[in-house]
Amino acid sequence: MLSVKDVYKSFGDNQVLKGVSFDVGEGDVVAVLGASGSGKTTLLRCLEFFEHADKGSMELDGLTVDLTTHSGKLTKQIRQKTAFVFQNYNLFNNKTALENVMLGLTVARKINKAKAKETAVAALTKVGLKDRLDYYPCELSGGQQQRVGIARALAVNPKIIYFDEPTSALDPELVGEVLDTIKQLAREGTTMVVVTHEMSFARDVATKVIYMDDGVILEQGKPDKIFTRPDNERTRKFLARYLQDFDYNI
Amino acid sequence: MQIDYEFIRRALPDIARYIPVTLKLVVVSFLISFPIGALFAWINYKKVKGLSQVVKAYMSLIRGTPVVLQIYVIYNVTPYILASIFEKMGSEINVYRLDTTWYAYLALSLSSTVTIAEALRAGLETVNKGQFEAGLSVGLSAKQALWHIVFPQALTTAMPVIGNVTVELTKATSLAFIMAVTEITGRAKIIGGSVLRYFEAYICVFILYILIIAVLEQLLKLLERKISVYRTGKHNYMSVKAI
Repeated sequence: MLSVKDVYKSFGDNQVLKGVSFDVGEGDVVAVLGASGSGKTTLLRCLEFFEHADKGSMELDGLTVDLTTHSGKLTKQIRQKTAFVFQNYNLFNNKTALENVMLGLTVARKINKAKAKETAVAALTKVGLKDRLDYYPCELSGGQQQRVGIARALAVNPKIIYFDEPTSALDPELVGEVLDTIKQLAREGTTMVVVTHEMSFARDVATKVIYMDDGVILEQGKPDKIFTRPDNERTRKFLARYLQDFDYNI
Repeated sequence: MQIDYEFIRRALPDIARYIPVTLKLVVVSFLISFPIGALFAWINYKKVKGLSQVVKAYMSLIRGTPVVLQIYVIYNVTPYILASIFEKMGSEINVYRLDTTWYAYLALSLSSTVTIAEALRAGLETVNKGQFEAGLSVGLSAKQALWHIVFPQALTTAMPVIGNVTVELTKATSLAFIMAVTEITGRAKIIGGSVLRYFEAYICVFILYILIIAVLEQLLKLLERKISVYRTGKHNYMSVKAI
């Protein structure tokens, strides 16, 4: 359903993406792993046109787009099919939880208010925040804010949701509630690409794991395979470091 | 010196009849300077090539000159320029019969435009880029994201300064008399001059300005509280200041 081809991106002299290609099928949950600075976030940002790639193309739901395009119309068309969950939530500060979820429906998609509200309330109920509809982001905890972020992404009924390290900014005790929400979406067959450092999440929930290193995809495949028998020495080292951490965390 | 209280008692309502003129000067000048100030703020924030330099030059020109001087220039020079333009175009319009209030609106908006532009630019800079991106991510166009997300937050930050601008503007309307616009100060000068009771007449305008600005400040405070409710929250629960 999503097919990304040959993405290159550099910031000045620093080449961050050096030819990244991958496919995502309908209902797939793709976990993108890799050390900091390996280009995971930049990759997602290029797919949502927050950054303009130097080279590369994507096909999403039958629509093929050059990732270097500056065309407002094309990018808007793609963004109407996608949703993005940010590392630091980025809820609209001046809107309540309900308004946050409704805005993409009423303003971007011209859905009438009553219908939009119904959809928004349903999305917020799904993430367990039915009783926080008229709360502003400053009145919500990090975990609640991120769940509103997920509801906001869900409400627009996207073909695919990108998660950019959705739990990295959270206090450890709040990580669980957000991961549980994402897990629930996975069970329901939502197509997702999740950049994450949560190894156990990747291992248990993902249908496909991509390991990135230094701007390229070193290895991709089923989580079983990547976590137990990685082909690449560097993947093995990276995972060993994380899995070792788990031993200490018991 | 004897204060003529009887004169004050009679003059006060007479001068007060011109409060609407003063208020109209404030409102119209503000309505001119706010959108232009917002546009200038945007140009400077985006550092639009060419335009940004023009705006900056305009801003330092206005900031670098006293308001009284600006008024003289607008009031005395603009009609000449307009007249010669109309003449060249073969137009019949007689500039010298134009209502002088229009010059007052123009002259009074000059400096408030600059302050509003600076306040809003600073406001825009405090809004995290992620807010805009989040807007795009739910399918909004750049314009919609600005209008619904970025601009309201910038305005909230800029609101205290914009409130000050409004108060300053109210006081600056007293200069409109130079341009033959009779507002409260102008009226006070006229009736004070007619019986040589300037001191009492000035006491009257003093009282009126204090009252007008006291009311204005209350309104601004209410407005500020209303638009910044998202920063304090409605529920007093876990409310921390939004970044």
